[in-house]
Amino acid sequence: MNEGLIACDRLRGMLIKDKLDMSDGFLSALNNDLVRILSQYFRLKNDNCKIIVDIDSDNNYVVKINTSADFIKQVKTI
Amino acid sequence: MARRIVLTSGKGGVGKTTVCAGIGIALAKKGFRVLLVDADVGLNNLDVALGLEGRIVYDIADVLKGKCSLKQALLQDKEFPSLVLLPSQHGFDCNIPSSALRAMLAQVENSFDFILIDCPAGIDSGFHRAVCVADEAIVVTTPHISAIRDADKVLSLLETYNLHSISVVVNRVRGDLVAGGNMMSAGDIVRLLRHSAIGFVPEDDCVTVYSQLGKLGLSDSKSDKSVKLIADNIVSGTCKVYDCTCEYRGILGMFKRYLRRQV
Repeated sequence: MNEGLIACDRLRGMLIKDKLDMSDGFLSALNNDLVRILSQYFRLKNDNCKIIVDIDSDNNYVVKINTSADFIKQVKTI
Repeated sequence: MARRIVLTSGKGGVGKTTVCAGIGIALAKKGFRVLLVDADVGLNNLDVALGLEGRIVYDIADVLKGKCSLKQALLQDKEFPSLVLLPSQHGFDCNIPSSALRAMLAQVENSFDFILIDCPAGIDSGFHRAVCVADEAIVVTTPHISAIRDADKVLSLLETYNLHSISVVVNRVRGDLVAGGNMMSAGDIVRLLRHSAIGFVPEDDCVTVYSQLGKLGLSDSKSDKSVKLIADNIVSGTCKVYDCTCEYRGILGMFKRYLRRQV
């Protein structure tokens, strides 16, 4: 990879980081809420989610949530 | 009624004032009546770029203080009579409110086709004063990462103002480094900034030579050609940009790149 492409990637990362103006508290609050909701449907392996927030080419936020569960709870719907 | 365009950047030293003067000259050459407003109070240099620094009698602050009328403060360019400068104050004892600047420009907007406002660097009150009197904005950046990062922040900030259009000029592009893959291309920069480009200006020694003589726009250099394209784009709404790498492509271009690196 040449220097121009490396600089381009570096800048892209920098601009995304600048735009994602989120405090650590924001992510931990989101994590707690997601764990609480998902726990009602799944038995989560560890009470934690991996959250990745990114920005796509249209300037929209892309939120990726990763977690694992070993059991689906039976939910009765009316 | 004049189109009011602010030239801003965020980071200082990217060539905002030179680009502003260049566009003003290119528009004046086309026969348009152009007013250049130096909104960089205290650190004004637009008069120097145009070679008018020795002719200033009154400035914006004098108009505000009632020492003279606005027309008395306007300074006509020596080479291009349809180009007029409203000089800024070189002292620091005057805070110009944006409402006063807006009222000042309203007095003369029917006498000009374009009002170009040279904004100070940074995003403090001077930036706000210059941007809120404009309808359109041009963000000037260089291919340096710190300048692009600041330009991105300024672009985000400009979105909060009521502007008709926001576009980007990438200044001082090193065509030899871009052609050799050693530097980001101007196109890449504009794509990352997610705004349309209104022009790419190549790095050019002629700018250094002519600006120190106060004779911008008098050469037929590549930078003048690129600024002329910017003026065309402003007038007609097109998006034709200068290809900064054209002279560094091919066998001869490779030889030129090699020579430039040696220099």
